[in-house]
Amino acid sequence: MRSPGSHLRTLAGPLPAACAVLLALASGTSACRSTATDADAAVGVVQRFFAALPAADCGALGPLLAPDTQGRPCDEVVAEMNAHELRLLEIASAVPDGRDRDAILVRAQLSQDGKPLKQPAVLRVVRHDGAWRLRP
Amino acid sequence: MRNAIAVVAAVACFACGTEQGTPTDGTSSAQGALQLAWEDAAVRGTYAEDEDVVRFASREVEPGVFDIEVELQGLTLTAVLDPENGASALDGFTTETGEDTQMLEGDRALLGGLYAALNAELPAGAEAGGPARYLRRAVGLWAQNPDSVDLPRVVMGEEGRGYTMLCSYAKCNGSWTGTCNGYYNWYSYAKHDCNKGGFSYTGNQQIAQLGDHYSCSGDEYYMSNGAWVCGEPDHWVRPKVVGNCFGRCGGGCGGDTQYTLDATNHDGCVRNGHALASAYCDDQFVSASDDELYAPDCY
Repeated sequence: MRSPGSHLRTLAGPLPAACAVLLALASGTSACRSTATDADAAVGVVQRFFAALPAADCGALGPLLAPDTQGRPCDEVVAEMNAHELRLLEIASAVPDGRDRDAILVRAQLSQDGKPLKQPAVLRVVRHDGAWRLRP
Repeated sequence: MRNAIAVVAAVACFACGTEQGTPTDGTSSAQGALQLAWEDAAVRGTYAEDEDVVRFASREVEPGVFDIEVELQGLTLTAVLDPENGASALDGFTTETGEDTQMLEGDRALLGGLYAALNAELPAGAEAGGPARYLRRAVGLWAQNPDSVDLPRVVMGEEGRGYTMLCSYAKCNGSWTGTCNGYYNWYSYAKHDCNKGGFSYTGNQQIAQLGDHYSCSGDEYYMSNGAWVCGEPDHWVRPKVVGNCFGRCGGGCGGDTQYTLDATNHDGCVRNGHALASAYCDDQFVSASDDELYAPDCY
């Protein structure tokens, strides 16, 4: 581990550094392009999920959800979100999880019961059965 | 705030059942091996649970300012704390690349083990010394960081504005610890908002005896039909609750004795039918962060 005092992040890993250079040259490798595409796909999943959420139709919402870590079914997850009027206001960013290439972190401003939350929430979109899905 | 070894406690409490009469004392312990090394104005070491290892270091980089780094499972957590001025910068990122990442359940479980080990090994309160004391506080905070709360953030705190002390409610029967002998000092109400309703919804409110008085298998007691039951109520209407250092910053009965309003409300959320990582308790967690890092000890 680095010694205390060197607490700033160092973006010196081989893949990000290579990607940054290649992206700057607008000639990214397939790995770089897939990262951007994956982030776009994850944003799309979040947007589609929250657009469909008020209707509470798990026929439409279910394919956008990854299995719940607590094992709850779609209708239970959706009912809880709607009971609290959880809504998407804005997406701030979407980046890969540096520890898991099959996960995208989507930072989003949400509201509950008509009031914006105090801070953006980090939503997790994971690759599951070949598609990107929101982890409840 | 909630006991960091909640998973262990929850499993153990399947056997608790109903317990009549006065709550009884209980204990909790770390699950792994802690190694600590003390240096001038610094502490560093490791904590190991099975194959998982946490490396940590904390040192005073200038008078009253502490630089903390914790590394586990490919995640690096950092904090620069300036308690005197109530200012801190926290961060968390992928160790190998510096990329963004997120706190997940496995991280919290391991950090909870480290927190319990630090509580067991370090002297209580200020006697631990600045670097160890603020390491313990930062680890206690990270061990409860929900998935949905971003790791990079600034935490500012000031008594009366950022945090409100509730020390007097941590005493019962005239004592900070031990049995209440029926002489409780109830705080009304620990409260939160969630999918069940807002702060004014009585199912989101609890009447709490704060303080280090009882625990049962690492959990608290609540009153049910005139009897104390080991466990946690789930959105009951204003139940009486006591035990497991309700209202105290950090998991369970951590090494410091900070009883605050925001920590009480956070306990009122995560010990009331919501998981520790529930997004419905995010606001309570964020509000309690400055309490955890800066609030003084009650005793």
